[in-house]
Amino acid sequence: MTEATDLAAKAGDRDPRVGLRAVAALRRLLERLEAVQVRSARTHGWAWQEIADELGVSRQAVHKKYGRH
Amino acid sequence: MFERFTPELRQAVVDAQDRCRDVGAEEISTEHLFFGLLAQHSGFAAEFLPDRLPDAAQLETEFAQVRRRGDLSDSDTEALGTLGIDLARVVDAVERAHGENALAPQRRRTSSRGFRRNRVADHVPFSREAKAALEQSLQEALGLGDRHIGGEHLLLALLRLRTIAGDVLRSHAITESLVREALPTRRAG
Repeated sequence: MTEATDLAAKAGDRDPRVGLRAVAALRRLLERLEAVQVRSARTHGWAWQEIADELGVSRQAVHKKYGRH
Repeated sequence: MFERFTPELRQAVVDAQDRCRDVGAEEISTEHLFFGLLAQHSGFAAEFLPDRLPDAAQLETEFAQVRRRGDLSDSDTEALGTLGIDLARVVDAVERAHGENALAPQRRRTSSRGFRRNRVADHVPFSREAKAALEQSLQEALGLGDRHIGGEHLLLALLRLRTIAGDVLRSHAITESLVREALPTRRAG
């Protein structure tokens, strides 16, 4: 790459819009992955407290989010 | 805002809610709004969409593919790519461990008799994307100087916001420009 296109590419990497979109997308993926893993843990008989411990959150938080409503 | 909806768009939203409930989804998504629009017999969407889209079965398959990767949009997939994350490989890895469709938003099971469990507030929320699209449809109407919000404005919003429904529309060559060109001409000023 020429220096100009190299700089342009780096500028794109620093573009807040690109970065923020990536964060938002990663957050959406994270939510889906969390749901998969929590479901799996429950299928394996894990208690809410055990799941919460692994996630680093409170039992109440994980139960509220994933428990039967 | 809903009071400014055309009867067709209002019905499309109701149909979207019904569809969401029927399939047991936890949120009303842009997929449901899409099928809601498609179900209308009058209004812009009814005239514009059917000739430009494949049949419902094909569309269902396409949306099922999107659900399989967690309802992430094409632009989400691209954005993850900028981080070096290949979403297809993530889906693959998850499915290998947890089965096909593991990453898809899960659906509630209705009871064996087909009744839904009675809930105090049997109201399913709109997804973030669906909410944003409905709000954006107002902006589209304002931008065009239209007093009422119709299917055409929701279509523009679904496309502009790069929603999963917008992705499916675009994959069938339906773009914002195409929709705008097809709009009835407006009075100048």
